[in-house]
Amino acid sequence: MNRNQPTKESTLRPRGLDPLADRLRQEAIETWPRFSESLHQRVLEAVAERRAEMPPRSASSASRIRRPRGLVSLLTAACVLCAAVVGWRVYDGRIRAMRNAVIEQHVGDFVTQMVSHWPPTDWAGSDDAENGTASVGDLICSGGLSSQTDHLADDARSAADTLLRRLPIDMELAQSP
Amino acid sequence: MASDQGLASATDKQLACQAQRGCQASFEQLLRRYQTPLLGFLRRQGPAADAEDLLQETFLRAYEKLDAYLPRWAFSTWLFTIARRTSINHHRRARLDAEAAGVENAVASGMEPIDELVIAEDRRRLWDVAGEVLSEEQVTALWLHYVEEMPVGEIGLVLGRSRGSVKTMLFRARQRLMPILGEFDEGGRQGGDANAPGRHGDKATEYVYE
Repeated sequence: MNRNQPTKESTLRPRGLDPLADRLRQEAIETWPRFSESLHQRVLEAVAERRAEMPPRSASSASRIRRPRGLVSLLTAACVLCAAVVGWRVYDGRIRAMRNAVIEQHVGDFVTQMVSHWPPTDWAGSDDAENGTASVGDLICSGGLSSQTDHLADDARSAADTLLRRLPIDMELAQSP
Repeated sequence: MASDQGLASATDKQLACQAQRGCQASFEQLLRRYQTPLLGFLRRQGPAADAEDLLQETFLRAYEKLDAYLPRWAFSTWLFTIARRTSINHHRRARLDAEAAGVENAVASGMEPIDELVIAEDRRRLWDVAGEVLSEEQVTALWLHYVEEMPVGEIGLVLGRSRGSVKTMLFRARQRLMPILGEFDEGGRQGGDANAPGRHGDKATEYVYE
């Protein structure tokens, strides 16, 4: 469409193929407005007034505004997402470290407590018998030692279960055979 | 002048890009190119008396939003989109003002049946009837398609519709206008020859839009 010529007759000539289109084009030609220099000047003056109210237009501002908004939004969203992931990882790492420290502390206390209570007082009392060997033999035969060790084994099992429940999954997996 | 010749031979996109960089002469050249197409278009959108004011408002808005124009769009599509929105807003405000003032719609009260008008008034134009029997979107689509010879895709951009929607719109507009065109021709050419245009009621279904 050549708009250098203000007249429309050259481009809107009826073609005889489509009567409705021809009729509409013909009427458009008949009512086509003439170029008005006074109207042109009026619009130019209005634009000049508006230009005076606006900040100066420059190449830099034009290119800045023409920068694709979608790309900028995408990059901003990606940056925010990355910052959120990094922040979460740092926070999570600190929480894990604190939890591991607490677990280690608990394990250490538990082991210290177990060692300090060994051997059990009942068993130590049976050792005080003058005939120690016979007493120990009697104790084994009577099942007294067996019941003591069973008791210790139960304690150890429950302690291990407690410990496993507190351990992080990765530590638990590392300890499993 | 050589610069004037350069502006005259430059494409719309080149002029728009130069205007974005602050070249006033390029914008003036665009004003010169689009004065009559926009004026003709705006006269079809509402009362002709408002067309010049709307033309000025359209160019002012185009100047203000020039930075938003992207060269991947046809400049005409962008400009006609602004013109149509400006016109719709203006006429909506005018209608609301008229209703608020209690002014009766003189056109509606004095309206005669369209068929009688078509036959009785030989000087009446098909575009006037189209403005009465078709929606604003259909008239705009017809004008842009037949007068501005705009592709269907670009008409869709102006109207904010898909290509398929524009094709349907044009098809229905033609279906509506074909019988009226026949009455126009019968009214104007009583006893005319058999080849006279107007007896083409089925042409709407034959036309293929590009």
